[in-house]
Amino acid sequence: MIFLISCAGKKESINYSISNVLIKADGPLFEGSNTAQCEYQVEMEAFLKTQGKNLDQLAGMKLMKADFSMADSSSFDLIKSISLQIASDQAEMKELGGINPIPSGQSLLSINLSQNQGDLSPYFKQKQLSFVLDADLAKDTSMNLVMRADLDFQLTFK
Amino acid sequence: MFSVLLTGLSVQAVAQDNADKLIGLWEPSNGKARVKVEKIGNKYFGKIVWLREPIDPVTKKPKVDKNNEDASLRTLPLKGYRLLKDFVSKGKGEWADGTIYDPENGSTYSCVIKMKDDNTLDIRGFIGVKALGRTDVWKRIMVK
Repeated sequence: MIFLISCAGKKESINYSISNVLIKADGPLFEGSNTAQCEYQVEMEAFLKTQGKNLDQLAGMKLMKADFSMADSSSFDLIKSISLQIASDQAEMKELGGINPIPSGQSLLSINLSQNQGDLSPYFKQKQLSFVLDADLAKDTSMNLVMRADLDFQLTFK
Repeated sequence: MFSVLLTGLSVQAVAQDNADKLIGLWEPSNGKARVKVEKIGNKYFGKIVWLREPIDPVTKKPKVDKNNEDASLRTLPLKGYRLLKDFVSKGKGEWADGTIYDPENGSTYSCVIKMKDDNTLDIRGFIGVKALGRTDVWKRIMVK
């Protein structure tokens, strides 16, 4: 009797978190969909160095969790839904997830993540990217809209 | 030398102004929606900001992106959906390398935009070969 055991080998993975990303839309804002943006300076190379890795070794990247709160600690009651995208000059805009409707009285929420987000590493191999958040407002407001995002990713390596 | 440099910079500024002419509010020929084009980074994107029939007759609730091939995104509202993505100005009133999404069937097509005049766009969606696509004419909506 011969037993064949396949040792496919697990890909190494590391958790990577970006905290306190402020995504902003300047007022006045109007009932309906409004676009908030954040130009994010990527620090992936420096992070990988601390892990003894480099960008060439980065094989894949996936968003595992995205938590949002209002920067002024208020609730989300003015906002009916949000959806999050990632964009850059060198890659196509990609949907990361969203939530609709936002339950009332919430001051912290986690969005439902896209099943088809694919590999996000191409965005983080560039110097800069944009986080774009579409917020559907229940009514007009003269205020700016500033949301804080905490994003958890999983990195995999060759 | 200095005047050549200044001329070069002013040409670049004019080119950028012309590229930004795409920014604004537009209506497709069927009048079912209005699309707001905005700039993110160095690219142009357009999202639905108004629907002629915003309520789904079956659910009696605001329409959602029910035909999206990504099941996790089917609850997101159609109003606000970004259906034009990643357009890059090619100069001479043309924007390319982008895509257009059709929420009626959940399909995404390659797309080229040409500005016929300041208030008229030819939006051509295609799969693979541009010649085999379909063109729609969009009109600018003046916002008071």
